[in-house]
Amino acid sequence: MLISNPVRDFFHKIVQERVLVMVAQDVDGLCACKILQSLFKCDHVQYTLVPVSNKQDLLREFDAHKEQYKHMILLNCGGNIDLLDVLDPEDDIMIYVIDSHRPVDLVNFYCERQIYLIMRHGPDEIDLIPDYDCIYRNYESDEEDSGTEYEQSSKRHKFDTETLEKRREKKIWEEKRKEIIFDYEFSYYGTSASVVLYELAWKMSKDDVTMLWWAIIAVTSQYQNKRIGRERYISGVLELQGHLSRLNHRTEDQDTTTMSIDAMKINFEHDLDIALYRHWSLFESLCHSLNSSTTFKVWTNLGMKRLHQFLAEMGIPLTQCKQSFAFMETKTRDNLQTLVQEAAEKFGLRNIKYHSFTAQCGFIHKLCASDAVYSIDALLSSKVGSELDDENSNFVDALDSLSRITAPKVISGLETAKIQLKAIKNNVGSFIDIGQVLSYGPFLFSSIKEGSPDSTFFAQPSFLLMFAHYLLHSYIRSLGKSKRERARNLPLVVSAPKQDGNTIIMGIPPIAEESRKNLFGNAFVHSAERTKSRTEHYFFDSSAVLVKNEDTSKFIDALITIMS
Amino acid sequence: MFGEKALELIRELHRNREGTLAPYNEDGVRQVLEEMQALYEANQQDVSQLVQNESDQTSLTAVQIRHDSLQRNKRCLLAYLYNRLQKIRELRWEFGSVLPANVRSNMSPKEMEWFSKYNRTLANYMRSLGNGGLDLTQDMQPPQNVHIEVRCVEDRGELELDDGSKILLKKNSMHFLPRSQCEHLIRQGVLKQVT
Amino acid sequence: MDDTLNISGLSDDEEHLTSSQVLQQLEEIWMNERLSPNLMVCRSDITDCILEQIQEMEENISKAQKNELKVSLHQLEVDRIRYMLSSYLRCRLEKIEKYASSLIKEAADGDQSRLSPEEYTFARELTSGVEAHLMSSALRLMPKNLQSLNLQEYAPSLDRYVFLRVNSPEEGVIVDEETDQNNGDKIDFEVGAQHIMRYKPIEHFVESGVVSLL
Repeated sequence: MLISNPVRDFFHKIVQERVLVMVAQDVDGLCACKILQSLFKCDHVQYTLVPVSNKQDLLREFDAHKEQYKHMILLNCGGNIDLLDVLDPEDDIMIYVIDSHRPVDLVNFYCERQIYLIMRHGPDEIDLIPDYDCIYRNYESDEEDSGTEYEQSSKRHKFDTETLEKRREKKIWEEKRKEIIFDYEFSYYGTSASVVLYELAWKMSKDDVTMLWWAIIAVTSQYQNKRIGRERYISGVLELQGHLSRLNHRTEDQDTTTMSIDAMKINFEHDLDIALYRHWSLFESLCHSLNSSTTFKVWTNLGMKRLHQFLAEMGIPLTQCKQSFAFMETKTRDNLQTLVQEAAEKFGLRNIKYHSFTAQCGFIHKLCASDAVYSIDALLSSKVGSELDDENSNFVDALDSLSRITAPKVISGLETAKIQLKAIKNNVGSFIDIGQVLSYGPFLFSSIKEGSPDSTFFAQPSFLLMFAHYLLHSYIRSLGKSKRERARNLPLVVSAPKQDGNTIIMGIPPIAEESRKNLFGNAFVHSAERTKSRTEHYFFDSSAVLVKNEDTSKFIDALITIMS
Repeated sequence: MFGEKALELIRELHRNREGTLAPYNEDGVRQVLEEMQALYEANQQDVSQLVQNESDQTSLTAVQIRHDSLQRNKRCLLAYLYNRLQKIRELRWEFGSVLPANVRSNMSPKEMEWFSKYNRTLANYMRSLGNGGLDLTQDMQPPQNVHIEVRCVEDRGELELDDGSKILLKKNSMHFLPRSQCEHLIRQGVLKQVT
Repeated sequence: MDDTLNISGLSDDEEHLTSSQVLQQLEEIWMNERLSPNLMVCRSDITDCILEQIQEMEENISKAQKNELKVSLHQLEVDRIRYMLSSYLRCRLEKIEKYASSLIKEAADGDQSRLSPEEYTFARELTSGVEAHLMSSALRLMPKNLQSLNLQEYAPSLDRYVFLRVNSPEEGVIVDEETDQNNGDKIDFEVGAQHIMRYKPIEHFVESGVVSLL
């Protein structure tokens, strides 16, 4: 059920207890976890924290700990799964869910106890949930209660108009229900778990700048991974900015001299929407950012030329563009934003600037929210597939990197992110060159071949997702004008083999889809049912699925039929 | 050279890394003792000769050198033994009354004996403090917070807390616990404090 | 924590000390103990009193409602006091272990003992253990004339220099009593003044609280 007053019904209930926190291994989950940890620290709530990366983990950790804990919190996972069915909790176990995955599972939403959802009550969030009456009605129970009687007397009442009427009504209702549920099952992302928790902290007057920074990172990651559209990002950012000025105001009231230089300061600013440029060179950053790389088509010779023209237009010497940002001339660095923007307009590079936040501690380099996201994402996936296959140590590293922006882990994350971006750029280039993006009618399809040099990267869902977005954007730019318009409305499906004999199949919504709703979750389920493919709906995000290698082709075939 | 073997024992002490205990060098100790015995016998012989033949200056010097070597060997040997006891004592404070198996296997039977006696002595003393005794091996670090955040480094199964509830210590899980409950586990390296 | 406690002080007449004063004294002896080369005279009056207080506070805490801010503050306070006390006693134990034999000898010589009865037992058992170990592992196997063992040689060096601060005035303190030609360097202690001096001549001032070590 939905909790209307999270302070009273959630926080004050668990504050006396020992709780188990299960955290999804993504940026939002981690940030939410940090916020919750600080809240718990304030109130001395004893907790145990375990990372979970998929549904299997969730079940395993739940079973391992269910003897010891009566109160469990799921961070950024579990909201879209029927928890009562999957976990089968004892009656005295209370589960609190703070999750940005949508749609909310209807059983979770309408059950009276045990499952408590903490989410925003805004119109975007709740309105989409169908009314109780539309999906649950007492037909079944009526039938069961009178079941035996009904059978015995069925002959007598066969032509009873009342019964017929009832049946017809039921049939209509059932069809309507199916339709509603089908409409409802589009997956998308709601307000990030971190923001929900930040608001909880704020309501209890326990929020601070660090917590805000975590909320900022979470929102930025949603935007960066294309989980929310630009509009929702901007409204989210403005909200956070409101909190920021309130917090800054509060510190101004105090004696400013007492603020240590080492305390974290957050600034709201217009920033360049290119990846990692503060920690890379301008040239590399432009080459590897989604927006600029696709606009220039950097995988072609012509595109490279255009990129160089672009740099010339700005009037910055090439040697400076290619050296580390930190060593560029101060004057150029200060004017960089205006220079880039002016040149961008001439080259049709849209949305090169966006609203964002940067954080600074002491006198070191600023860290902007988007770079922090790259770093954490990279840390989360850095060791997977390699010999040190230990997702949990990734989790620990990523969590460490969040505790301080000056943490050494942040830097190592940034370096890994660069390697990943390079791999994406190279692969996208070659995929486009040899035409590996195919139009299957209702969607575009591209498959990563087994044994490709970067296959360990591709086995990692977060990397695959980022790759898919780059690929889709690049593909559309590579088309002629006439085809382009059509392709903008097509979703993309990518498949990547894992080493264990399974293939990850992941779908992303079309570029033109501003609401970022993803219909693949449902389609995957149907396709699997129809072909009896051996699949596992294993990820928290329903738009990715694991399919046995042998079943992949029939699965995709069925997907085409379902979606056309 | 006399005293060479004894010096080797001292070197061994010196090489010992912190928090570990090198194996008890029984052979080395025996060799030193044998050397001492030999020196002693040689001295005895020379002295009895000296008594007969008074003018032999060289053997007098030899006796003196041997005597010094004996003293030196004794000192080194005692230092070796005594310092090992010190080390074992340190480990007692670090790991509690049950030492890890790798430390125990490096102790001589006599050291084991000494250790259990030390344990008893210490326990008796700590029990005599106040009414209910005071565990001095707790509270090694000045406390900053009642609760601390710890990360589990290895699988350790269940841990029972003071209030009777149990928690599961699994590798890489993190916990927020009263400091007093996990101090000894931190020292044993099962938990790591997150700062 | 402000309740007045009745403890038997060093003087004959009953002294009334508040618990915060006792705590202050603990802090004082703790610092001195950690800084002095020699073992100080045992102050079981203070430690017993503190131990009692800790127990009392812990009982109060366990009775009180969980998760209140006040409780956690009290808990932390108790933890701090217990740390100080443990650290003080640990520090003593370390010194006792190091100089056990000479301390026992001193006690046997009838000087005012620095050791509490419990500490004395501890020191006795410890030395007998160490002696037995050394004897059976090595000495017994040595030539007869080398089997003697004199652990009492290990006595603390009182000639170490220490930093100190003066708490109450004292005139004509002899700095260097042992020189023959010079009839003693004498200085006056003024309150608040800080000196670096050899430990031996001022040892009794530390015990009486005229100076504290820094």
